[in-house]
Amino acid sequence: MKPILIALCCLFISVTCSAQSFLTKDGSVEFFSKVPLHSFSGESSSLNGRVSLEDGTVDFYIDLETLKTGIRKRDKDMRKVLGTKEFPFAEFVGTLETGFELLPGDSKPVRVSGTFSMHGNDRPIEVEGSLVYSAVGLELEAAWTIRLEDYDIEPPRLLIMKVDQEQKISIRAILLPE
Amino acid sequence: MKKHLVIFAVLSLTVLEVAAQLPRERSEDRQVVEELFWAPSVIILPSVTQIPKDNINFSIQHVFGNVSSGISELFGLDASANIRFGLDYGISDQLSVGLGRSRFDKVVDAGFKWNVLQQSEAFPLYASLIGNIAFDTRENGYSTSDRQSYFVGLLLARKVSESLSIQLSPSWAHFNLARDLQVFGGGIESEKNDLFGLGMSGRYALSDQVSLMAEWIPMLGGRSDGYHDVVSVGANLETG
Repeated sequence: MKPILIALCCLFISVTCSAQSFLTKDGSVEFFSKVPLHSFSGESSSLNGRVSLEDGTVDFYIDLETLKTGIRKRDKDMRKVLGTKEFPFAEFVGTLETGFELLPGDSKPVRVSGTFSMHGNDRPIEVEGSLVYSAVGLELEAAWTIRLEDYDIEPPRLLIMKVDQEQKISIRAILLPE
Repeated sequence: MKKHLVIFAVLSLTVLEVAAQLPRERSEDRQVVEELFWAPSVIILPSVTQIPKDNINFSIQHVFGNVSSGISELFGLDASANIRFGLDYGISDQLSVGLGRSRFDKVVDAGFKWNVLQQSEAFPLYASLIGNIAFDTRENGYSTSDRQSYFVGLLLARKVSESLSIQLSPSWAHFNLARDLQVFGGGIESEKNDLFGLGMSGRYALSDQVSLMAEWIPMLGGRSDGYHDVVSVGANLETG
């Protein structure tokens, strides 16, 4: 009888964990690049991610080949620069430092620390963002800046001008209960 | 007891799995095969490559004379058989519309290209519909109906490898007016209302910047006098 009770407890814990975990497969990612006298952006709506309010873990990734800048040639060059055949994903795995004591209806600023990985390089970063626990699920917004050289990426050239080292990245997603 | 331990272990794993990292899966979006051709046209025929949404493509197509005219005509380059200015707009990534104006018969045309199917891991080729209506704008006294002609075609294309793409283009052209024309020397050239062709095109990328194209458009069935099968070769240079 005792083992059955334990098993039931485990099942309960499992269900509780699921209810505290939120998932997205169609979040949006946007990046902004600068070249002297010019700027451009790229976006994708294929951000995958999970946020667990149980243990505060955050896990996001994107297939870099889904990023589009609006110009096919530029997309092709971007995939080449990012080496997407060898390194198809950009990913962030971290932990909520603040804000994961969230209840339905809450809206809070959050800080997440973790590792951002791209082009075969991992770098620790801290990200500021906001979380809203709505009737639909968790609404997440966050933004941060990376330097291409930190990820061993040679900035591409547009004619004779080099794309800026700094790239602003922002993400938006509505995560549904898992 | 052993049985209960197994249940316990399985359920514990379930709990752990919730907290585990998401499995990394390639997106279905990127599984669509792109860049079969580098431009919306192969040489004469349209290609399955679309103009991206909200982009405009302006083209100048220049048809020279016959290569057989020899060195005195610089193998046709001295002659200007036809010039067409085209302006196309991408309504979506799969649908574009365009206008054009040709020197030959001062024809103004309007058309569309719709990529119905795309090559992906789930489907082996692109299938696009193209349509065009043309209007002879010369001051020649023809009726409105006689000035009109139509063209429809199906583009079936496949990227065979990173370097090689091929395209098959069955097409039909209809001219409302078919004339019998007296030609120099006293003969008569008869035109037909309907013409059928089967375009065959290929592109081979030599590098990231250079590719070669070839096109052959044999006519099927009857043809108007003076009409020939078309063979073209060309090169694409990426300048970006």
